[in-house]
Amino acid sequence: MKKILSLLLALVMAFALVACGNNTSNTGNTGNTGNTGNTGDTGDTTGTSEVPDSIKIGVMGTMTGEQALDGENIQAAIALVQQELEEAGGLQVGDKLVQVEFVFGDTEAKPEQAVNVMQRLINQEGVVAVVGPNNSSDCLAAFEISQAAGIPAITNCGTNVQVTQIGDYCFRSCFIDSFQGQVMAQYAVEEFGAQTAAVLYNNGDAYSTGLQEAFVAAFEELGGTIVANEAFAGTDVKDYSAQLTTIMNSDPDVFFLPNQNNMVPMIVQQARTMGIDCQLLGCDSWDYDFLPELIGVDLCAGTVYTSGYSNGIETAQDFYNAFVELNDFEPGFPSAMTYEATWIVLNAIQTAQSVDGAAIRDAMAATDMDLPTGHFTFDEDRNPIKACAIVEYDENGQRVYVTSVEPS
Amino acid sequence: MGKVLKVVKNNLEFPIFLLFFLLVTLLHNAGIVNSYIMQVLMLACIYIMMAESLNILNGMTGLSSLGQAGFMSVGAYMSAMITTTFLNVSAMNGVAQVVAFLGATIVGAIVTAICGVLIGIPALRLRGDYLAIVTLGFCEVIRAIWRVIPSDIAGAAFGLTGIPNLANFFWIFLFMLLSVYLCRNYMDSSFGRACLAIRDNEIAADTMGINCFKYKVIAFATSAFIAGLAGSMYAHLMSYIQPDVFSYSKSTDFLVYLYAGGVGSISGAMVGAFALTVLPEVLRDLENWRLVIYGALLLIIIIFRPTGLFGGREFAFLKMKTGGVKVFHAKTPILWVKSLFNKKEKKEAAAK
Repeated sequence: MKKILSLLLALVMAFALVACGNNTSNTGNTGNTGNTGNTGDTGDTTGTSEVPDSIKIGVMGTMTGEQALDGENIQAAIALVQQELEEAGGLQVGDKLVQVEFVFGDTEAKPEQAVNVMQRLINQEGVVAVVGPNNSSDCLAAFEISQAAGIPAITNCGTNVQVTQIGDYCFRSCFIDSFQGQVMAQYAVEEFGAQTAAVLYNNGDAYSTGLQEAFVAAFEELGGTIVANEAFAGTDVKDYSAQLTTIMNSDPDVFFLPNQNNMVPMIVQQARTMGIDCQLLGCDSWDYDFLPELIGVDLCAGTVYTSGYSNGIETAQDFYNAFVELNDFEPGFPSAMTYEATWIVLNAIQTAQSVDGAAIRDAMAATDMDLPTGHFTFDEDRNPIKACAIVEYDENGQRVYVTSVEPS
Repeated sequence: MGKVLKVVKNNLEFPIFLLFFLLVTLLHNAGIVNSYIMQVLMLACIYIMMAESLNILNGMTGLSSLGQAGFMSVGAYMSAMITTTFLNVSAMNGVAQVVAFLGATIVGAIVTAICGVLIGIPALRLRGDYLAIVTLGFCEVIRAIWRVIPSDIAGAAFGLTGIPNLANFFWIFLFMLLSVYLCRNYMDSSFGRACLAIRDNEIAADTMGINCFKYKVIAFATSAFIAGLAGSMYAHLMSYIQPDVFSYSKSTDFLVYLYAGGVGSISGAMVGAFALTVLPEVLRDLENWRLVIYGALLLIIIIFRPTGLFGGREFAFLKMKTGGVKVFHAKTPILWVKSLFNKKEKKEAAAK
């Protein structure tokens, strides 16, 4: 036994020595993986001749798991981009047509899976850029990898502010949580003349807390009072009566519900049946075809929500028609954002005339193009500058585009 | 020198581990084994540690735990808070980083072991499903606590970002081996035998003078300690942890690894965790079908091999001294397949 122990100790020391040498080379490696991997063979020259005949673009999303619905929307949007590329015979880069292959990766809405998928896309598949993942937590985990490898990644629905702060290779095509909360507060005060507001949010969800914080801050800045700011913990909660009672007793002018769409129906039903009849405000997760039916058409009539996309936007009509024709269902926020994110990447490859990570990154940062939701540019933090749509559910449960709000 | 050679000759697995490690590292540096494969390998090692930790409770002592992810989260959060929030290790130089990382790992594991003792105490009164509920509750409470702690300390619901990526393949592989040998020695010691006795018949063990309470608490502490190590490795590998990562579905994953590999067997836990971590990645090309195939394979394993792939056997290199432990030979799978067909023939013969 002693012998084994002593040998083990000796081995540990030997290992440690090896590790000291290794450590430095390893840390160097993480920075280099991108260069030794795929970008190495393309080099950093920007001539058209360097662009290969076919390139791969990674698409990450929640194809299965809790948010499988978003994954379906993402795949449908990519199918539309693919169709457009096929019609053109490929992506026009300089004077040659490049074939674009989209490689899908399922994150299951788990950060750990997102890291695995990102590693796989970059190191195994050799993608030149990544679209997605669609979930803020997944982005936070996975973008560390793409940033270290020097591969530009653009999330379609990762609305949390920290996502693009990871580094200069991280972009997003949707607006950030704080912007959405701010617009909602602004709209509530200007349109409904709200003096008091209540909020019910999920403190186990980064998306929900982010929106809540922004709304509360903006609403109070505009002179309103938050009379009830109630939290519940996690997706397992199915009964909200304790929080809703407090909210009903505080009698607010507007009631803001920044929650994921699997919770919204239950909350709205319980709130309405309890007798909370004030104006309900939602966020972009409300933007789903089936939501009025799940809530009950009469219960959700008149509720408004912010959305990065609405089928009523004039500039989106071409996209809307093509999407419906191809997929037989209406595009939602995730599909529109995926479509935009993908075209931002493709446009950047066209402008840069290169598949080098840094060149695509620079071209993406300089994006200046018209997309379905309107004119699109990036600010210095790689967040989009664009208008936010306000949408209302009418008495038939139809989504009606009300207006677009520019942030003030 | 001669002594060392003799020990090496009697323990050929040590140089083999060393060679394996060097081979993987060399291939990685040469670019043949890419970062993706390394990531999966490292995750597999971490899950081997988790399966071993669960094996001490479920396999050796017969205490059902559904809260292993909770223990893992304590180790992950404690060590990550030390390296990220309190020490800001990223700003240090190489050696100081490693020292801080190892220190944080040990502190994290010790705090986890203390949590294990706290949970182990009710184990005196509870058994079976009731204990499982208590551990499940612990897992959920811990998760709720991480959400409540202010975001500048532990990141709250949003998760802790910017954890220095210090857990490389060397440390993870080393800690995995140490955990496996800790389990081996635990099982071969008087502690382990007492635990086995408690598992097989608690009343009889009590009558024979085994202090059941003491050994159950020790089992919980040891198990939690290993889970804490694994948690620290996980946090410093992923660079980002979030309360929901350690939900009870993660605990169930560990349970599945253990039962597929063979509960009660250290080798089984190793193989089960490794196979079931790597399998979904190998199947990734099949896109959504991979979850179906994964589930189907699990079903097949449990139906045809209710005792798990290893069925209580152990790898020969572990040199188990505990009586009654069968060794896993290269021939074992062949014999098992043969026995499957024999059974059929026998049944057919009986039917005639």
